[in-house]
Amino acid sequence: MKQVISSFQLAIFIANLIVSASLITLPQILTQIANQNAWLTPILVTPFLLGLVVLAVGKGNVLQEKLKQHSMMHRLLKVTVGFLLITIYIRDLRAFTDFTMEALLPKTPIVVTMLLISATLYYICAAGLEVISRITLIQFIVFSVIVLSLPLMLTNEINWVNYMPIIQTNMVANLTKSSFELLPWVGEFVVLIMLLENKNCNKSIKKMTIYGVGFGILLLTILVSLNIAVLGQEIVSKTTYPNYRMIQEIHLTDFLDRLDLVIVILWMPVFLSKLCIVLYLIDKTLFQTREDNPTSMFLFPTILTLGILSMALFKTSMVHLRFTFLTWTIIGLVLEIFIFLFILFIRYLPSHNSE
Amino acid sequence: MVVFRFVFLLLSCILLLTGCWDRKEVNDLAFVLGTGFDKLDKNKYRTSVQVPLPGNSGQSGSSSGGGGAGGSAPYYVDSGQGRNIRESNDDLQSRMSRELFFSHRRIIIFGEELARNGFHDSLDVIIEQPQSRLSSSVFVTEGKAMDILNSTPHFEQFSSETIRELAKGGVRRSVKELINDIYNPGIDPILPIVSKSMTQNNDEENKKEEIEISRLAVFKDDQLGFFASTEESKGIKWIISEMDDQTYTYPVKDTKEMNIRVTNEKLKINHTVKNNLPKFTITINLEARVEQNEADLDFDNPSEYELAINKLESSIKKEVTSILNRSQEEGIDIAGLGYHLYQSDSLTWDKYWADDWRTILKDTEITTKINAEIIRNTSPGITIKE
Repeated sequence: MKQVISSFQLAIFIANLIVSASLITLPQILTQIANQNAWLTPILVTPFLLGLVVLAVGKGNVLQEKLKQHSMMHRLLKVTVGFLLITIYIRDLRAFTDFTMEALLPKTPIVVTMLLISATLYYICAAGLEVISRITLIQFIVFSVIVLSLPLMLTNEINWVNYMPIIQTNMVANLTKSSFELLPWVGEFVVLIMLLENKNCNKSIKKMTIYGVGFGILLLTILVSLNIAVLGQEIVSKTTYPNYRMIQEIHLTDFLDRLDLVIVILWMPVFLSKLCIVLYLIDKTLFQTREDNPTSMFLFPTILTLGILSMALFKTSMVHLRFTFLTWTIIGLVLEIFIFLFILFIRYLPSHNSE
Repeated sequence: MVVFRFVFLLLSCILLLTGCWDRKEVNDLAFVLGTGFDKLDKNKYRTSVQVPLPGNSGQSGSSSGGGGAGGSAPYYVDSGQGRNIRESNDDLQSRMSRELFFSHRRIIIFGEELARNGFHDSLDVIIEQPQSRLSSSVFVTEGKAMDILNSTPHFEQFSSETIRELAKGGVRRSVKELINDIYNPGIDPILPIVSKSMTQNNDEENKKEEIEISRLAVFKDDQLGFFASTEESKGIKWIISEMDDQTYTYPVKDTKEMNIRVTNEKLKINHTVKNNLPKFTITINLEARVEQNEADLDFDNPSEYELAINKLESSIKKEVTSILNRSQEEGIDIAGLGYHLYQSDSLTWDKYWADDWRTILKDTEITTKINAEIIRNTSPGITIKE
């Protein structure tokens, strides 16, 4: 039986893809480029993204129908999406294991952490899309409540002076560079185009896509803004995990102190949900041939292979960071541009079923 | 099939046991409450830590507070030496049966020698260590930081706790604030000075050691500029807007003083630019309530009220102007005048002032204005005259 998701679940997937991995180290890079104006970057990128959504997705019902067809363009789209997903998965899995090793479990070998995560992901993914979507929904809602309440929890630590000066030498150039750095991260949601055929109906696709993008960007903007307001541009630029440092500053009273571990524990399932949907889509785009199977038999070997690659490809954490913020920025942007063009071709060209 | 499932379940449990890899027992950890950093020689540092002894915490000998470096004290202080802070921590760890755990460190003290030579490397260690908290309070001392950790105050069991509580009632600087003050352009950091003092109980044989925080140290970037006197420290507190809920005493008549408590204090900096040279006006607006009216001034009488206000404003102005002049002479910007320019006029700052601010600061004109108001006084309130 074909697995279906609702419009709201699609929106949550989109928001999750935008924010859950971006919050690990990306704010540091954005602040290094744009200094105290880094909080403007997600806002600047939003109209561009929404324009792309309107152009590519349209109302969504036509695209949903056209994606069910088969042609060379569809195959190219699937392969490109699959390749992008593989890079996203390898990048994010290594980022997560590095963070775990740095902040939580310094003595546990990184390979063991990777294996544990991979086993968890397989367990969830093997159950199918509907299970992934339900887990994502619950965890993301809790996570969103935490992020939306962070400004209240950090009220006594916010220093508005840290945002000044807003107008600065090279401001436009810096914001352009930081937008270029951010764009492939927030553009990741384009891979969810492959979930359109699993959507339960053809209504409100555009609306929920816009809501998902908007909400993800909102959460990311709140986090980047708070990083600068609470820590200051200098500390954010020097800290590999600025959001982790920021939540350590939460001090409501002497009793409600040290909530950082609680928040990290609430964030982890959200991140794992993102990895789950990425894995599910890798399996769907590259290996799945039958609609009645939730996953293919290649899921487990894929998870293991990608997990090993995430360890083997990056000898040190520095190599991984350079790949993430220098190499992957270009790879991600190029692939997303290709995906966008393929979507346009599929949507606007006449129906062409080669089989 | 049943056997296969059973074996699979067992193997899954083994996988989950990997969580024990980072297992740490509480009694294998040495919780560091306070750290002292001292410079001994060129490229030689000492790190001292104050660690509570859980077994001694509840003993009757220490239940009234106070401790020491030995005996039944609830804590002990030890130190390590090395070429940098990390190495000195490793040296210290080699003598400790428990792993040093810095997550609960609340205070950091820099010794005078290290402060004079610059301490930003030590601060960077705190950022780099995942355990360390940016909310730890930072202090400086005249002399050795380790001596402060060894002191034996009375109310609290640990000197670290005493220092932390004293800082709450006065000027407090966290690692986060200190780093921002060092690296933000046009502003120099201030740190409270923690020192030992003796109780003043007129009993020469029973004088006890206490900890005191009454003065401030002024830095030029991360190097010690000078230790401010008590009077200068009061001026600094006005400038950095740390006088809220603080008491202040000033002369009104010959041997009569007025004690007030500041209820609201705001500092405002305005500037004008002439011939590419900025000119500043620092305005301090404050509201206060009277705590002790020794001069017995009648605030219902406008002339006596004016007298109280004028004396207050002139006293504050004298202190503020004195410390501003001194720091200006040394090219130290305690008021953050350069930072104000950087925020309000960033393009001009980058063009004309950023590179040479310390030299330009010496030539800038700074005018100080004080606007004070006493909003609440002690009894009697008003007197209805017949």
